[in-house]
Amino acid sequence: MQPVERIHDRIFHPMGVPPEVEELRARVRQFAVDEVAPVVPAMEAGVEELANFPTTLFKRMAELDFYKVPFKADENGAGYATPMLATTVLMEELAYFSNTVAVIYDCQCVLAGRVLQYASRELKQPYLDALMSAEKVACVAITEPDAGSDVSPSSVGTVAEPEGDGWRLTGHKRFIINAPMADFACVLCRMDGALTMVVVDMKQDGVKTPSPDRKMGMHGCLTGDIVFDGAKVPAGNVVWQPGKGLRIALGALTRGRIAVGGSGVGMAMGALDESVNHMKNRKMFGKTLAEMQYWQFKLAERATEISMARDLCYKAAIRHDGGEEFPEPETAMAKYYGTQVAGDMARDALQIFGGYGFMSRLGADDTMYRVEQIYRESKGPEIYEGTNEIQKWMIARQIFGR
Amino acid sequence: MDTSTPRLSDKLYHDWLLPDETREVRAEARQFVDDEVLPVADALNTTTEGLEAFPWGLFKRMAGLGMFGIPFSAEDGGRGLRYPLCAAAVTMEELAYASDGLAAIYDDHCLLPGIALRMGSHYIKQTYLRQVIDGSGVAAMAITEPEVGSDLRAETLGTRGRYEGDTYVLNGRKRYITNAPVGKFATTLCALDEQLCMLVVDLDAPGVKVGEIDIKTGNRAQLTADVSFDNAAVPARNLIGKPGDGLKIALSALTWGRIVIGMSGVAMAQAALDECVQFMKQREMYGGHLSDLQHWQFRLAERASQIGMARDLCYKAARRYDEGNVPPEPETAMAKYYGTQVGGDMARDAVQIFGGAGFITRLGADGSACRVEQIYRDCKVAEIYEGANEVQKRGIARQMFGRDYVR
Repeated sequence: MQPVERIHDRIFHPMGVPPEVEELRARVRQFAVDEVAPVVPAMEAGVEELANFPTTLFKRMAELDFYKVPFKADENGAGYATPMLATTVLMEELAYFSNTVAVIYDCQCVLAGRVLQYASRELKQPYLDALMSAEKVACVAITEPDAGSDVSPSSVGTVAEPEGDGWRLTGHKRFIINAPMADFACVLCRMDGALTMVVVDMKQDGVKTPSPDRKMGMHGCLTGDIVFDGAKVPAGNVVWQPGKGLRIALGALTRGRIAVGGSGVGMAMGALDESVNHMKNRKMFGKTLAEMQYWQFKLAERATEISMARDLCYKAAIRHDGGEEFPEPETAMAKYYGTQVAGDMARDALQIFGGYGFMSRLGADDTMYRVEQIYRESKGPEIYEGTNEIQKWMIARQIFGR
Repeated sequence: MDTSTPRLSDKLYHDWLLPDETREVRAEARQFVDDEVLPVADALNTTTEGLEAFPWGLFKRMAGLGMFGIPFSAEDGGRGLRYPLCAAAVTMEELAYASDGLAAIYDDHCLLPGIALRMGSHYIKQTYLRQVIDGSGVAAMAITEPEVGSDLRAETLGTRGRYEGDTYVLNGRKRYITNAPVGKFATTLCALDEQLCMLVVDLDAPGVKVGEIDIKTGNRAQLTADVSFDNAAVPARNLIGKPGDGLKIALSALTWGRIVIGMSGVAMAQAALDECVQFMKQREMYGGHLSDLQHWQFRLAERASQIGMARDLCYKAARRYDEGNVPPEPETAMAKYYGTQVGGDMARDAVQIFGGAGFITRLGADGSACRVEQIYRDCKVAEIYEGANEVQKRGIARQMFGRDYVR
């Protein structure tokens, strides 16, 4: 994979991004270029089996202290003044080359980390330390076979019942990222009829994880069902308190949505850069594709949209870092728009590449095309962390009232 | 006009880019608009173009409130703001919320010619810029010609002159010149001895003629007309800068113009959105309200997102300019095209939401006017003037691909 010019380094001027975050961006980019990009083609050509999980990259991100980025100094974290902004920038840089790696990161420390921040110190710190060091793989289990965005007590079928001085968990979760190799899960369940978040040890008899799912894209990231059949949950593993499950889930998803908006921006920039490079080299009708005004203007529009989406993600992050637990409507806007522009740009990119864009692997010389990978990877983020329709519904609620 | 429509941006939009100084300027402008513009906005926006329709009262009030001094330094007689382009942008935003025609008068008086004049000599500033700031003379900027719009070159321009004695003798014709029918002078782009130059031309001078007023789709308070030159003698001291500086001066003024026109698009979009939300909550259908229908809920959620991003983009361009990044590109081109596009997109949706009522200029039954009908007409020109949106996209593409590919 030959590196191409980063157009946005020239045409985008960040506002409100402090030097320490730009310094982080440079370090993440170095890692992405040197260590992620070279292994992506083989990883994405593979299928979702335990061996395809990028264990080396997963561990390296711990060595580089990346999992500490979202956390405060007194949580043994990196202690950034703007942790959400730093996280968003990091997601952008990872997703530029691999949304697989970005989403593994997101689930490991953005989602699970945020859930744990609502927990008592005794519950939180050992798990945070284990996920920051990559000693343990984390996942967050909200979705069920029959319950996606509609997270209400009546639709959540995973139930905790008292047993001894703890709880006994029964139920079925679906599409859970990192579940096949997770050491612990933050699970949304019903407890005495109230939505509650609990931390569950995955390495026990009452927990089963069937084969990983096969997906359209992000083949290095493993998702799967979790079946709880009498899994033991100690009394101290309730996060915050019973009945706070939805609030905690929404708190985690708020960070997740900003980060996923950032991942959309990263993918869109990747597809744009590949397109510009291809257009300058591809000759047709006696000139280059880059001289065709239709695509010049289309990419001028996409570059504008990407820049706006990027500012919107940063704005949501900066408002969150300023103390807004739920910085709305910017979070909903950033999630839907950031991922939409990725899907739109990826589709244009495939069209620009023509036949090459449709190739997962060219028979003649085994070349893989990044825009083809981005086309497939970009679809997931329009769905997960609250579909884009849910985001629009939330924005509409703020416009019209409930 | 119904002045009670709630302004949703106060609730939905969180400003993160503007300095406190600019927020104060906005508060002044909003007060003026709420108290003095909105009550007369229907007449301003619907009365057919004519000399008697020019809003002299509002023009003088804007002068009295110091609004024409916003772009200028204290030594030039202006407000001496630290963030003048941010202040001009929010002023345009507030004006265009009520009347894009009035906003265009403002832009074409103190921003376009004003910025050109401030690049002139002490004499030019004393004689002309002073009148701009105190409102004693209305200014105009004359660039466009019958056969020349965005393609400005010494070869293409039809307004030409030569140096004779102490004067330039000018011939040619300008078109769509805002404020010309009521204007005292116009900063005029012309080819003098084959070099692009910017000249200040007195509109009552011998050989200068302002034509009949154009009748337009919208922006009716804004008066435009041809300006023709028939051996008009312009004193040499009326040249801004040096011979050959004409395009540079025009583009400097257009940098201001593009950012504030992007802003005017955002304001029209916001006004249309506010009207729609108010209307949808009241309009009953199928046993509920129009606001219960998910199609329009989601559509307006998308429009609100776009409006918020366009506003951020305009503020970002303005702030970068005020912080010394001149011209702030590609943000200026992006803000101009995207801000005005969202104005047009939102206006079209708004008329659809209002249905028959959105197509009504003045209702026979009670004489009421419809704000979204006015916006639908007004928004279109913003996609065209100050450099068509296609010119903006070409500018962005050039920055992406380089001039070898984008000519």
